[in-house]
Amino acid sequence: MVNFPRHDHEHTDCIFCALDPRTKLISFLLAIISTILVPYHSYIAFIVIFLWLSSIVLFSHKSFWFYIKNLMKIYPMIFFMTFLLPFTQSNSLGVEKILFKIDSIHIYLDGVFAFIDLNIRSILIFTSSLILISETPIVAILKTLTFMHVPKWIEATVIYMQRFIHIIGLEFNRMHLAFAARSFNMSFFDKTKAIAKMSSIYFIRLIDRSERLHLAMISRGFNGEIYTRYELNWRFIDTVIVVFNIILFSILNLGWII
Amino acid sequence: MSNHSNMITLAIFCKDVGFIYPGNIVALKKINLQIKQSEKVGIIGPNGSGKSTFLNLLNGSFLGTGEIEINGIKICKKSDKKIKSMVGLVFQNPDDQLFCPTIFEDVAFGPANFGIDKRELEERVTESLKEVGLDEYGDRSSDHLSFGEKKLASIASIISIHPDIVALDEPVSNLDHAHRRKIINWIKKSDRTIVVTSHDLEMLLEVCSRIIILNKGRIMADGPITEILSDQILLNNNNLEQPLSLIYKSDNIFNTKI
Repeated sequence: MVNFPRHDHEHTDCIFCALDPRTKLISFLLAIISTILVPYHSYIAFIVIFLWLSSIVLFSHKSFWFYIKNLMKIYPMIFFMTFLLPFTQSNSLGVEKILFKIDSIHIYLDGVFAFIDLNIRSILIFTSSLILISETPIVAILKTLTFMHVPKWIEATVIYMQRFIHIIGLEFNRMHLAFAARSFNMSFFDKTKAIAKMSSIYFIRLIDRSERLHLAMISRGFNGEIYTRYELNWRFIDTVIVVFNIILFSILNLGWII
Repeated sequence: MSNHSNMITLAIFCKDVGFIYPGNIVALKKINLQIKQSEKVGIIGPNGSGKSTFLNLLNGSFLGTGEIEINGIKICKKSDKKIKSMVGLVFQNPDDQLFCPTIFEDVAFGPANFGIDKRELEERVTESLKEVGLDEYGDRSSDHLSFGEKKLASIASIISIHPDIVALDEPVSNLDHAHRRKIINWIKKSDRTIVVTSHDLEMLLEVCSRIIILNKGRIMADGPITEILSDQILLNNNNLEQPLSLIYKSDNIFNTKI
């Protein structure tokens, strides 16, 4: 069964959860931007960001295993997007550094580095997002976005996506169940063929469900307004954490320790 | 405002209403009908007869051909917001209707988009949840409700808009007896104009005074409910069955000695 991670506990039952959502959002945005901007091969910066994330997990509600498990779900996609990089020459100077070659297939050293670099960045960014959504109620994120005066369409997209992610899981589980109930005597080849056909139906169903969701929004006069009851509560500890994170990620991005 | 509305303000006035889905699928053809204020009208017909499409047209979510007036106001892009505040549409599947993180926010979604101020909005939400008996469910996520509770929450999300007309798409389908009864009682108690599509003829017999049979996008019959549902030939021609309570009544089966 597919269950997408979401916040599912009281926001006061762990140190990290009790922080103001603005602190969390600012901190994770800084972490994500830093992960994207740190120079190529900045492994020390990657280690610092990893340690920063680990320390948050220590003070959060979920365990390391929870994040690793969810990371494993998304990693095939990251791998799929980057696995061709070692076969390409990413050095802009045009100097060929071939690690090894098999017949006409060349594995470039720069390509391998680019593969490692992109994998690390993607994993760190995904883990950051995962911690944020697992430890912050969606209403708190929405309230923070309203407080920050982000355009209404961004808020609408967030609320639409949080529901859509749930629908993706629901539809997948339904189809999986229907398939499992009738596929007990199928050969591997037939199963693969059926799954390929199912995936196209799956996407059509998702589009259909998302259209109905959109219809439900516009039938109630949707113009970007989303009401949230969540009350923000900024404390001294929030100021300390935000200042600390701004300093930390500024140092990383300015390359002072690299 | 059209000429007929000078004489009497009808809740719903339809003239030559039609709708064609992409792919040239004709859903409705030249629908002409008038519904009075506070009237409770049932719409029946086989699957794919255009019942749900008609409700979407009443709410202005779909724009078709012909003319629809709600309380004397013609449905067009200009009057869209006004129409949506006057006609509340409850979807067949509550999972499509409820998309906010909590039930309270879902019920507040409509009024918030119509610019209701915070204090009144919270009053309306509390009132609406109370009306459907979900006053203690505000903080829950819709994923944690039973199907029947979701249906009631969908109705609450429409009541909070304070619409003059409520369009209910299959409100009691797949419900247990307790939740079915709750919805029937709510419809009976309501003094709003109600248009309800359903395959549950027993329920319609209980709540509606008038019934319309739709088939292949056309009105096949329109009149007092007992009269229409007693016409066995008409029902057979439209793939419908006479409700058991009417059969028993006409056959006087309870008084027959076996």
